[in-house]
Amino acid sequence: MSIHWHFRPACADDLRALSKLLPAVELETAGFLDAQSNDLLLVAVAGRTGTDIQGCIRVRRRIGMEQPRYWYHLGCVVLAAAELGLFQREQTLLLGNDHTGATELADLQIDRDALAPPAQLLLTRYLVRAALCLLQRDDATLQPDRIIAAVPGVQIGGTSPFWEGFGRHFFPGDVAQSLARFGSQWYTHVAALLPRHPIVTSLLHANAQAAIGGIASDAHPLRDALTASGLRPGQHVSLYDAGPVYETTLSELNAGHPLQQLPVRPSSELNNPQTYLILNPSEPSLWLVQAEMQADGRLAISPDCRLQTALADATTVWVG
Amino acid sequence: MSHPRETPTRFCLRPCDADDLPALERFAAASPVGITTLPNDRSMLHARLQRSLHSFATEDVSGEEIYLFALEDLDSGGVIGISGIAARAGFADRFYSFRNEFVVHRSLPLGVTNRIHTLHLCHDLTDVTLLISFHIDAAYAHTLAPQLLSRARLLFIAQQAERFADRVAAESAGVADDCGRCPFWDAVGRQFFGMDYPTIERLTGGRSKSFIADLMPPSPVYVPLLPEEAQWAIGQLHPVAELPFSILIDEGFDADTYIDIFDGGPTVQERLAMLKTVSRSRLQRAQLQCGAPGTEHTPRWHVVTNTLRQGFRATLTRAQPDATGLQLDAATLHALGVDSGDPLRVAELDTHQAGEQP
Repeated sequence: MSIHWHFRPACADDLRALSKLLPAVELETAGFLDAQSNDLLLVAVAGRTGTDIQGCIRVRRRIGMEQPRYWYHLGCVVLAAAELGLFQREQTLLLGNDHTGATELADLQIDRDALAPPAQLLLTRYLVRAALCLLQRDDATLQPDRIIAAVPGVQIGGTSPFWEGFGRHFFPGDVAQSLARFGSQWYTHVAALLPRHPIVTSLLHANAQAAIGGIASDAHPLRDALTASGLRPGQHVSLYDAGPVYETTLSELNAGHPLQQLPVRPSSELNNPQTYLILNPSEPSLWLVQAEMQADGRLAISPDCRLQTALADATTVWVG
Repeated sequence: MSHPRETPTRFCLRPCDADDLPALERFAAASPVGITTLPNDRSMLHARLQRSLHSFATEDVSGEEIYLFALEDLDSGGVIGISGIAARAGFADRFYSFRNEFVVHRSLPLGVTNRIHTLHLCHDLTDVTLLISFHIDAAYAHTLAPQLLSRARLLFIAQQAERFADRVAAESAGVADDCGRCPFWDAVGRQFFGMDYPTIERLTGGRSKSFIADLMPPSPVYVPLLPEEAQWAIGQLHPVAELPFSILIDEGFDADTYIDIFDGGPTVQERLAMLKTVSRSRLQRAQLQCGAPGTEHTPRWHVVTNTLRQGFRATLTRAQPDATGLQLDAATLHALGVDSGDPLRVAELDTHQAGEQP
């Protein structure tokens, strides 16, 4: 198969299919359908059919600039008394808006019914990479140039031990119900109820402490995909489950995973094809294709692939 | 021998003297963990006693003084209680407390309003005058002796005002079991000090508390995040503290604002002038009572003190002060160490304090 997936912006016709992947509240306003908004929902459709949505990822630019966004900053306070021979290094949590203005990767979802586990892992990885490639190409002057992605935190028995030991004391309501009603805006609303002063985490229940920075067992593919693309856990965790917020900058991304500009040419003989992400020269969409780097610096793609991508011979494309 | 309840005039409060060390040791041994001003250590008690003797004697005050009082049963000649005053809390350092504060967090979209209890480490009570070391023999707990033991020192403060602050505070022991396990300490202080409650009480007795600032977190403690046992212990009393605490509350001390940073026990505080015994106290002239007291007015129980420092004496008497003075029998004048015509400071006890029907 020459094209694995086509990554393109979601359109109105996709809403029904997306209802399988995203909660209804996130589709009601569907701000990502507005091309002028800072909200882009990239869907992954199977290369051959072009219609089956098998995954999605959201790219939100300039987060928190209209409605505040919150995270906990993981800090440290040293408490020491030389006369008693005591030295304590204590972890702290401080509610803040540190990532305001950054670009966020969110809502990565995979249709697990449609894909075998190996394909799920592959799609997870390339959804992340596709989103980042678009940023590298289209947002070269992004300021601030920080890119973040929250990874779901530890869950035990369907609940977050961090929430049980901390947030529950300030919002006793049903979180699932609230999230279904308010969507991601719930995090902004609940922040108004949370402590504004630094919290020394050793005062929390042991289960809550242990969950800080931990990752849900089914979020390992996302973590691996982010790590493979150069993101690293930073100094922030999410409000609800204290899952880690991974981060990088555009500069680091360009240094570690640079895009290349290459002319393409069709070739019916691909002796040693590799997987490449090719960016559409004129639109925010990409293809994951089998292609081969030629000695002359051109990227050889199959005729079938050229047909589906509608790329003219010698067109220069960005490759990630 | 008459029942102690029937003859409150037999009680006399005086400054501790050098011979009171055995009594101090007895009270210290009987004190639960948390009464740090009575360390169960002979040499430390001796040092405190010496310091008290100096404080009563010196004309040159610095604020570092402590004043220890002994309550004597004149009939038996034994010391049945002690109490004390520290001139300035946290002298040359800081006096630490947790201040109770409440913040309201509200989210209109979520329809939630929370009133959240927080504890803030503070030095608000630094330099106030501190009431300390209250202890009384259990046999006298239900007499008027505790009233004298606690309230008379307030009159001493009022009389020697230049030695004290205009605000008075008192720490009351919080919840802890006989083994020294303290739920509030286990939930808060232990996290940062890494030691159990009896150990920290021993370490802090009589030494600079600056390490507290170094080891306790500077940011507020959110009470809802503490274990329930610790939450419940906030502002609660150890059983031995209930009697002295009830007297302080009756005096008008505020008990809602501050708690002890170690055991969560309440720390009361109030301006001296607002305290009941002080505000209703009057200077009177002592008069030798001649003949039986008149029946025009029903005599009421009063705390009576002389106005001396080293020779301070206080007792209880049933009397009715008038424009001419306070008539006292010879025995009472002798107990107070005064002669007819000498000044006295007198404050009436309320009926319920005197155990009388209104």
